[in-house]
Amino acid sequence: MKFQSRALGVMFAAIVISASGCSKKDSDAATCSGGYQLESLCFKGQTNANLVFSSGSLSGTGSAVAVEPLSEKTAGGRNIAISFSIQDGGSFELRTFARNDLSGGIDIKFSRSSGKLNMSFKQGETASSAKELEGIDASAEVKLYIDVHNDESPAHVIVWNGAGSFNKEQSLHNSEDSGAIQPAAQGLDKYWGVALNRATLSKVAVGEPKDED
Amino acid sequence: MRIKRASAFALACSVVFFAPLCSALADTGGLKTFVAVDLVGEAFVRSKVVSPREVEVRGVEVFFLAPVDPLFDAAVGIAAHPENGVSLFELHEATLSSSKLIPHTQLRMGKGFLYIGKLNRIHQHDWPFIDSPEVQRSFFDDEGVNDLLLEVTVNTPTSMPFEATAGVAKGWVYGHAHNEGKRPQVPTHYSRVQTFFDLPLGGALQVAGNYLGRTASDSVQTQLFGVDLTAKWREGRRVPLLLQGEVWLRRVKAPQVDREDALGMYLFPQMNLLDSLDFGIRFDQFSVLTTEDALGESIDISSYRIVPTLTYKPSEFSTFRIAYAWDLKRRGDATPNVTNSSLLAQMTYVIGAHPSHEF
Repeated sequence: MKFQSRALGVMFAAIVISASGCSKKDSDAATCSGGYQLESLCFKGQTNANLVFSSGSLSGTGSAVAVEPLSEKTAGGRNIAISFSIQDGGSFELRTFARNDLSGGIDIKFSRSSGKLNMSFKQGETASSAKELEGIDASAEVKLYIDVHNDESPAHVIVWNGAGSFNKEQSLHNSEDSGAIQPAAQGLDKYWGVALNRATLSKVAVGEPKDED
Repeated sequence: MRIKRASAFALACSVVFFAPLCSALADTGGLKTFVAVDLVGEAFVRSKVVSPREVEVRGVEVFFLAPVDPLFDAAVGIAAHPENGVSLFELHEATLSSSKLIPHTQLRMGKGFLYIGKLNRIHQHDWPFIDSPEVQRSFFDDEGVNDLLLEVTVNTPTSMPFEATAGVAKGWVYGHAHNEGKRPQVPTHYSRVQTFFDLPLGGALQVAGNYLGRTASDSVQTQLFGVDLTAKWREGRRVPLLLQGEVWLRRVKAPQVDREDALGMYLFPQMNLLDSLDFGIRFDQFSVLTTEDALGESIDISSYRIVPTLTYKPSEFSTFRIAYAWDLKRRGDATPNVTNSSLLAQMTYVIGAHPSHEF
């Protein structure tokens, strides 16, 4: 028992030493002055953006970068829950794991053609072919859950319908099983944002990936 | 994560099929075989994750070890892990090794886990805890980095033992991937130097320094620097106290992007309560040291995980564990917030002749 007591002491000391951790001071949480506060997230419009912020929604044409990175690390994964609407002929792009000017990332583009919603990927000059997301009415507000796993090469993207109850096994698109409709590589950094073309972003939230495989 | 009926049936068939084969082959002509099964379950008590993980067969490993001839030994291992709800077997290890070609030197070539760090060198069903620390998941892909490799390990015949390992791996992919990857600009290369120290009260400490580097096809450079340590106090077959930990620093440099440094660690002290009953607490920390927001302001986000674990291990061939995990996140100087908490359980068993573990 004497040894056990010493062992317990060593264990406690080890935990205390570990818990002290190492970290560095940071700045205060970023404020959103001059930006667009969508729920808990702050977006800053980029040059030449023609965006209008009203009633908690962002509308118009142009791009905006989220101030807080998508993930602490570039080789990470995140789920983005998003609600948007697109005018006929317009598009909405989610740009993930990009540089802070939204270049070099995985761009997921949704475009509307009457009631149909098409999805494609773009990275730099490389663009995939488009796919219609079945069962989605593009003339109404679209709710999606989007997993982006940038710790896989190429990045792995899964899209689920955010309306109704969530079922992990029933995705609208899984880039791993979709031939050419997938990202060309990994995103180069950890920032993200949106690019609107006659579209409205009404809700957005970032969380842990819904698929951990 | 739910395993589909077909794959569960395939797994069961594999175990049923291999078990008699193993007992028939075990220790026949130097051939040693074993099947290791690793079942885990997780129930979230407090979680932001929408779909709670259920009970799953995390891994089934079928292993064959034997001398090929007087010079070479071989190991072949296939393992099934769930992927998108389906478990399929894949090649984990196919290595040829020799410690007889050159004195004090071990050569290993083929496909296998890189001989670096601590967890990376041990099969997951042999870990002293259930889940993977974030530093392992982020830097080594959950169980470990597996690749085609050529590796040399030299032991110094001195009073203070040193073991130095250097290796090079194909490096077309690193970590989790579902394709063959692309030819890297600089293949994965790694080294490890370890030594032993005596500790008071009959303990022993194994400590090692590690390095891994690679440059991917898209010019992204990755470097890993790490220290792993294992301290054990033994009383016969019992280990009254075990202390295991790793600290790793990762540097990633992508073209036109600032260098990203991340620091991760875990420490796991475990004490023996009764003959077959152990209790340990794992403490994990993970911090990205160079994170800035999109406006260039420095931000500090650290994550922690605390996992008290109770282990019942009646023999080398079966283990039962239960654990509770708290995930915490801290932003800046604020007090860490609990983001998730979950109950974990594990059952592992081995059929056949499991090889002895290293220190």
